Amino acid sequence: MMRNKLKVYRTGRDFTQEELGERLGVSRQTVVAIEKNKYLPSLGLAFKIAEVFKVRIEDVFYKDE
Amino acid sequence: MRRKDFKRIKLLISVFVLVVMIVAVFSYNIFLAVVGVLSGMLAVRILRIKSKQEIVDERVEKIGDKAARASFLIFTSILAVVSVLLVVVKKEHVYLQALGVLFSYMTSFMLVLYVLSYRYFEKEFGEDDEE
Repeated sequence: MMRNKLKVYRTGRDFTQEELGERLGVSRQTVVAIEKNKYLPSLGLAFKIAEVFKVRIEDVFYKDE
Repeated sequence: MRRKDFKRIKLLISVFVLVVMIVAVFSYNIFLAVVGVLSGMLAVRILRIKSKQEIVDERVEKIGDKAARASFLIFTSILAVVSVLLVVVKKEHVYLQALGVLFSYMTSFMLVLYVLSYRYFEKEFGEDDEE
């Protein structure tokens, strides 16, 4: 199962879910769903997330064995 | 334009269309209803162009896809079962049998439509092209 550290990165940058949603061009609900691992974003959105935090995709998303 | 503003304006347009529709129904004015719906559609279209941003996010699209798929599956299954039941009903109920035949045609039409649209989108998103 794929998991992510989006909440860690978001709170580290002091972004609200709304602000991050605005930067990514998605709704706040989508950010919430990703953070809760209920929704797996597309590759395009994953790239955008990595770009916002200036990290690699695999730093944010990882496979939980 | 921010997503919140877009949603707010869209809600205002929806309320406007609803009010126009209510007035149209109570005044038996079909012209007003048509104008109300068309102007609402036009306003939303202009709003989308003006906002110049990705309004429908991918999660919402996925939810829509899943809901459409589930609705199709449930509706077609029920229609198929009802049509079979109506066709095998006693011979004296001719109208019910005719309705059953109509329903079975509708079921077949929906399945053909599904296959055609599936083929179309399969091509759109790349066929299995082995090299």
